[in-house]
Amino acid sequence: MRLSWWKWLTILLLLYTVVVGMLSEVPRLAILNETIRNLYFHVPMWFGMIVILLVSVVYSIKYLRNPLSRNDIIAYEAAKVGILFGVLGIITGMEWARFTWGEFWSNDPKQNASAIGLLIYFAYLILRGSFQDHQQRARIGAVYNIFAFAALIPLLFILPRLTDSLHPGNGGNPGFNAYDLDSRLRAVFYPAVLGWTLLGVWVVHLRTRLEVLKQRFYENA
Amino acid sequence: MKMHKWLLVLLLTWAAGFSVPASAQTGSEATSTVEFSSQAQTASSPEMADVMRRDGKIYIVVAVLVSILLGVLFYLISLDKKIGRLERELRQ
Repeated sequence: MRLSWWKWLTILLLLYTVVVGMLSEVPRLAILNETIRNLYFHVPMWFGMIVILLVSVVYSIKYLRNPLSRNDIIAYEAAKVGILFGVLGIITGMEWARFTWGEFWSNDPKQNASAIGLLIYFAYLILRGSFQDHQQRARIGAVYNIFAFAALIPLLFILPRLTDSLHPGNGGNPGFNAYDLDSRLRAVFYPAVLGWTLLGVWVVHLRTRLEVLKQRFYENA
Repeated sequence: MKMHKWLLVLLLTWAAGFSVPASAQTGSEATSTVEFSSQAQTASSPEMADVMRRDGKIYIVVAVLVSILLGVLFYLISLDKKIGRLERELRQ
């Protein structure tokens, strides 16, 4: 098969994540038990979401500086894939929380903040859909996207740290401190983040090419 | 295009830099964990799926996960090829 090297890398990293992530030794922690392995699947969804939404906002800024429809397409498709990752992150988080914190939703500051962040991004989709004119849609969408990303960062990374949270690394603690010390988790976690993020980039790449094709097709028709 | 490649190489070395010493450490820890797991039943440490991984059919779960992942990836690859073919057709 003729695939770009980074697509092969995606396949390799994800296979490594699933196989080694399930079979390797993990720290023995009370309450968490084997669910610590969710670190290789739940957390990379959020890391991937942030990276892909960053791509989206970069292309939104690019569009505002240089209004090529390609820039707008990448920004929009990346935002959609980022939202998909976020939704998967919230669902997997709820499943994990039910069996470790006791409830699907315990109004944890980070849970609430990520739900608000996702709602802001849902509004982006609705806002875009409400314009008939292509240029108006692209321009206003790009401006809104910048504000949405700027709101998401404090919601996820600053506000939950100011109060007590069930999430590790919150309530005044640095990033996931307790696990960071463990090299066995790191050996799978970092490849997992890279692998899942690259999977998202792959989907964005495909959807962008499809949209560009569609536009060219309608121009010719 | 070139900048993207450099960025990816940078990311890769970052990930490798973290993972390689980490996996080396895992090897040295392996011997001590075997001893630990034999005492796991008697000691009041949190219960883990030690036995499950040996003969509790965890490998079947891994096989199922790998199958699903491969299925999704093959689907992506076929989509990739179809879009590539359309691009070539439109260029002509």
